[in-house]
Amino acid sequence: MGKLANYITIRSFLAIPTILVLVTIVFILMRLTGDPISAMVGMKAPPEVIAELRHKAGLDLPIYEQYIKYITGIFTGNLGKTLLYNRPLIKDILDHFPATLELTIYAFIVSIVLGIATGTLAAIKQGTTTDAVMRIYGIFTYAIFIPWFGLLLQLVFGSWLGIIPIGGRLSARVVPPPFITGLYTIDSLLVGRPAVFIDAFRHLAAPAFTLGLVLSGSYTRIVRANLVDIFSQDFITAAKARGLRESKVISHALKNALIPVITLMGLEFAILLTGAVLTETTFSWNGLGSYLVEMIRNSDYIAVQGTVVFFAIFVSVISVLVDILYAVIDPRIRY
Amino acid sequence: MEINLFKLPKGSGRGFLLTGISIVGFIILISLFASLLTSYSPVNQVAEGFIPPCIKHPFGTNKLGMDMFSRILYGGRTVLTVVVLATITSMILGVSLGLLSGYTGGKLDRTLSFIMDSIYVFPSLILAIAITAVLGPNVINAVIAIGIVYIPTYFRMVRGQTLQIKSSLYVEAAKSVGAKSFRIMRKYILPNLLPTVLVVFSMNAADAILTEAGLAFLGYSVPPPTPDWGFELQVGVNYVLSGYWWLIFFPGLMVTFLAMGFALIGEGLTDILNPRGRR
Repeated sequence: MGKLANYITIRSFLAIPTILVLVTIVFILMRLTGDPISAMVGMKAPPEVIAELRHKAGLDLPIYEQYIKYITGIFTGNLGKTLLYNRPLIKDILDHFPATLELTIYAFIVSIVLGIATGTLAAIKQGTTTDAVMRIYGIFTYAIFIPWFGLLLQLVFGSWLGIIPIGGRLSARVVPPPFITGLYTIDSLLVGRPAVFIDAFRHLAAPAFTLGLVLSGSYTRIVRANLVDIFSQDFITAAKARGLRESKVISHALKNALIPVITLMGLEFAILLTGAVLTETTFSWNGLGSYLVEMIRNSDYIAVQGTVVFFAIFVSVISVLVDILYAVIDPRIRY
Repeated sequence: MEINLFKLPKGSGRGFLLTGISIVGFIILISLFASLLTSYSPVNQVAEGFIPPCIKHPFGTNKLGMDMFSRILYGGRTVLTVVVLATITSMILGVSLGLLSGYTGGKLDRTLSFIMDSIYVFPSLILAIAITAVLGPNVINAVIAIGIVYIPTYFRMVRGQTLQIKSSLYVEAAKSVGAKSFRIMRKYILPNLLPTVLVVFSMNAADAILTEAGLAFLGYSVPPPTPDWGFELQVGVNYVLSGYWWLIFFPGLMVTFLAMGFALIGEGLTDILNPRGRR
């Protein structure tokens, strides 16, 4: 087996204990409530009804058996049934997940583009007013409260100017494209319906920009710091001495400066998901974050538990992927 | 390292730090002296509903005819209380666990680090929502939720630094004259951690404000009608189409403003304490 394949295998196995710790924390938390069933139906329900519901959800088993069932369920993709609608939870999650994925992908692109642009600008103009302005940009975007910025965009561009839709993923009159990836902007193009693509894109623009802007500040900071560091290195001086054009020099430096950005992506991903919950609620975006909030409102703790577990697995998978990407680009870190 | 506010080195760090302190100080003052700045109650009807900003009501009134200016002043108390208590909780727990873990090493260190790293990579707001969903929405539970979520932030930093300081000569010397572990941690390692803890604290306070506001926005902080900035925005969502901008603009501005104040303090402190290695 090649070194890279080796690394990928080991790194993937290492994700399992992380997932276990997270799902155990969630399990303990959810059991602290005592009893999700009576929390949901209230104290007034007749005891036999509660007993039957508890039996159905497997809550009458001893705690360790519940735990084993829960863990094996996670690894076989069976997260139980929602208390409220008695639907398989995994189906609900997979229904809502593409919306979250679509939002996060576009937001991620926005944040990377803005972050690299502002970071590079700051590094080139190091020590000038532009540099200081870019630094303040980094601090300000970091501190933006997502619902505030999102609602202001809706107010100005949606309500007053009427340029963008106020919320949702598609206009009411537009029929969603058939399910291929679940991402409307991709599916609509795959089936050749550009009008749907445009509508989906118009709905996506404001939420993706909001989330992307908030995250871009961290990239500004790291891109600037790396570039400043690299500009002082010998190979850049050598390149300049040979009379290379400035734009060429910057592109050489940028290639090297972007490697540490990949490490940041893994960490930023958790922040991206946190932001996605707020963005989805702000823009009535029917993704996993909105689903989670709705299920908490319904006190459906089986659904809450499963959704949080799904987020945990998602985060772990992404961090594995980021590490692998890093190993592919930078051979030094392979074992 | 001592920081004398009146003798700061010149440079962008000083500007950031002083601006940050002014913003945070200003918000603390207006929240503390809310009763002097407005005569309206934050939780009673004082006028008609949906009055746009005017001289009598500078931030307008909401649906129930409550004065928004008063709600924002008093709301600052809620936000500051939750955030200060929560960050202090995570700081105390995170610093002591990190110190213990880094100094002791071995199995305890590996287990603790592993659990902390797992929590660290998890989206903070989602964890905080899960905790408040379990405990029920009120101020104390919001403090607990936010407090737990940010323990790893302090833990990771303190543990790393402790590992470095542990192997330094003066700690070796203290050990060789028979100083007890607890004494070494408290007297020799902890004081050296303080500058970094201070930086982490101010950055963390900015995060905690956004998380508190997020919880409140989703309806998991304080029960209404207690004023809370994030909660005002949850109400504001319903009035985008009506164009009642003042219900959205002012509360959200305060959240961002306060978070930015703490972020500026963190940025300034980083510059001053560590002038070479600006991350």
